Amino acid sequence: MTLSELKKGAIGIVKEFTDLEMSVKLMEMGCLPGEQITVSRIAPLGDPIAVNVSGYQLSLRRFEASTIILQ
Amino acid sequence: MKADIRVALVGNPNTGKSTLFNTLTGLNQKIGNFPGVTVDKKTGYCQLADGRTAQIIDLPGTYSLYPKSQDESIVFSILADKANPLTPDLVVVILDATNLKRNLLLYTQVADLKIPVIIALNMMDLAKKSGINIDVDLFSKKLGVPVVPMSARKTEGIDKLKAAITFANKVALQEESIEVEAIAPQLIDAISGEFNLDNPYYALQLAHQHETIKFISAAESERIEELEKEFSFHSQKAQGAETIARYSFINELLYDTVKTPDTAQDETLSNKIDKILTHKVFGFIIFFCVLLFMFQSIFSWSAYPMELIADLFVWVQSHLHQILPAGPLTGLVVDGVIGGLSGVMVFIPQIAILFAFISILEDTGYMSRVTFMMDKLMRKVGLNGKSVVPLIGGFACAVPSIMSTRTIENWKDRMITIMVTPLVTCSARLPIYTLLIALVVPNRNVWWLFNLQGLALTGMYVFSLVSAIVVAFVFKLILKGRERGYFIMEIPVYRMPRWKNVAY
Repeated sequence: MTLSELKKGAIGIVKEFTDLEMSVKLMEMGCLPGEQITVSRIAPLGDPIAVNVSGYQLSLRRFEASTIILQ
Repeated sequence: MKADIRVALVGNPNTGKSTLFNTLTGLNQKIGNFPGVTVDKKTGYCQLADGRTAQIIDLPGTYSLYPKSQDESIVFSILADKANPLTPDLVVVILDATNLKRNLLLYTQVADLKIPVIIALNMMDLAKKSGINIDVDLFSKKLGVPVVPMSARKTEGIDKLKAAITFANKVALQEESIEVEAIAPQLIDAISGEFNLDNPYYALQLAHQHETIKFISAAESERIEELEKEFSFHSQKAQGAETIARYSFINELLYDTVKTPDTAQDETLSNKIDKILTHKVFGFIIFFCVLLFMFQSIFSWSAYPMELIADLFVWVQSHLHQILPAGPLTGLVVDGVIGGLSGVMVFIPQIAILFAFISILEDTGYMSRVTFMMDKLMRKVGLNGKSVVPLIGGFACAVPSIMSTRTIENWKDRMITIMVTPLVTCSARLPIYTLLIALVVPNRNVWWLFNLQGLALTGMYVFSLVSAIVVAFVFKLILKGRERGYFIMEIPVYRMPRWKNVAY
């Protein structure tokens, strides 16, 4: 299951990434394997989404979220 | 002014870096550009307790030393280039105490460059409020650097920070965070050997960034490239490994020194506000109302000061005409120079009000919500959620708006935004529109309600927006993107605007 399939309010744990370039950026922002992630909000037009990770709110597009595989 | 010590402020975006800079330097500051790039360089001076003067350099906010956008690439260049006149003797790393984990990543990178560091632990008041308990002494001991808890907004801890700067060590004493050599042992050895470097992390950064940094020669850059091939160095994999190693160091550090309560994020005030401001229907209505209010006030509030300025110039001109003898030189000075000046000065109130609005919207964190809401819509025409800010700014003046596009990481999105921003009707075009419309369009009412001239003016604004969208769409098809666009962005917690910053 990937982060983009996670419903609003649901909690997941980051397992791995499918895209190397994206993973470097995501990890710098505190989105690391083993980290708990919650979908807190979805933009009015359905994309991007906002997630809570590492104690703050991060926004990312659905495509970017689909490169994050959850446990 | 001559400075005895140069201090750079480094930190994540939204950590209160600018507030701290303003408090430290007061009105004693200068804004320019970093050499070779149009990135704002803010420097100022601060008097220390022992009579020395410190030059304070405010570096752009960044999450890591690996740059994602133009402004961020400045940070490493300034910190690492020994020949640069701005290279700091001391770095103050500002950490947001409410979000230490992500903030510490940048700290560990800067610390590993072995420049003397002080930590300013900002937003302690907010951290206390949300029940975060930080053992500052242990934290300082574990890192081996002075840590100053403070709250820049309430100007708490500023004196302690000044004292820490005064008594700062000239040599870097911080503890190692990670074993840098383990990431690419042979390559780091080779680069350190050939370039005579004593810092392994500096060597590693050169390996990552040699193509973009300006202070090494093309030949040196090529040599590094050769070495990378020889030891099959993969930049992204190495960066990933480094980040993971750094976070495991940070987690261990925080485990011992920081206690965070487990409160549900959903209960925060920020979240409640967001439920309304990014709502499917209300979100857009509120955004539209904010824009409407903004433009309405730009035109109504600025009318009076604009008249004053115009009258002042007319008064000066008529007086000069009386005093000076008539002739071509007088004509040049009075009607040319002063007349021209008045044509420009009249718009200062409008532009000032617009900038004040934009800075309030940015400061409170509303702009990033707008970016969040608009991204999908903007992407359809080849723009980016982040293009909204320059486009709105374009209604005031295209020049600063184009400068603000450098926060858009993606090259193609940035180029398209730059090309279409001048198409948006800026405030200086307004008098021309009004004049031409008054000449060409008859002043009568249509459909009882609407004034034909007013409709024509609205039409010009709509036309400018439509043309911007069409041109953006065309460029989307023409331009070839070299890099992939992405939208990984922090959404900061809502904060009250800093009225001092708005005034600047």
